[in-house]
Amino acid sequence: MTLRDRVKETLAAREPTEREAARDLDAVLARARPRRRVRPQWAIAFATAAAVVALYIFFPRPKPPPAEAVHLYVHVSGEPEENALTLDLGTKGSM
Amino acid sequence: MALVVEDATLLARAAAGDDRAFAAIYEAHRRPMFRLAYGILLDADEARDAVQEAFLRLHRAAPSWEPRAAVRTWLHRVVLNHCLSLRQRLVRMIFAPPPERETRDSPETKALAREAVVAVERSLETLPMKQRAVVCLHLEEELDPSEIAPLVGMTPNATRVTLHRALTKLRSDLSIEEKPS
Repeated sequence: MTLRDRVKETLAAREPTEREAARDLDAVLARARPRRRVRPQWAIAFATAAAVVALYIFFPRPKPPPAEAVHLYVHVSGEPEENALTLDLGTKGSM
Repeated sequence: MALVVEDATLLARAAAGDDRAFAAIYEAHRRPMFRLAYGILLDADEARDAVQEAFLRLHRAAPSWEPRAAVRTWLHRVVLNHCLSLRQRLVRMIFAPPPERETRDSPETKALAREAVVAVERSLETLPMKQRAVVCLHLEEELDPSEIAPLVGMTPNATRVTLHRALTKLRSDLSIEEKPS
């Protein structure tokens, strides 16, 4: 028996069984599959929050228009409603 | 060349998600890769880890595989790097228990064969890891020193010298008298 034969025989003697080899392949395939980095519900929640913030930044709530007049409603308690006064006071310039 | 094409075709299918194609590549190459890893590490569990790591990397490399590249040579390189890397050797030194020298099944009828196996393992164990790698690539994979040299990062001449020393030591330990090849 040559040295090559003896070394080959030795290395072959320690080979994993078919079952072990199949398990190793399964482990390789399991590790090779792409991992889900983010759960979908978290991704949706994050996207929604980001969209709300973006809307708030780029489309701020419209401010109420500047007042152009003052309306006064004067009603003396105990008097009928028909006797109440309504005064509309115009303005010049901004209030 | 036909094998290279076949491997490349199988890898392309594996990259597209075909696990059976990858299993075919695994089946074609797992034994030589295990023997190489075992010849260097002399520990069956660690050798299986090295083989798993090599095939995992192959799977990850599949989408960008160059069709003319040889899977076998590529796997040789990854297994060698894994077995000889300093980090792996440190991890083994710190955490690994001493390797078992008994065979998995030990019926008395196989006693002689087992002794022969253990004798070769003991002799391999006395060699530095790189010499083991060179000698396994030569004896098991039947590669020439010029083919081994790029795999182990040595010059062809240094590889010849290393191989000669290793073979002389093994022949001496195992009392094998044959002409050096």
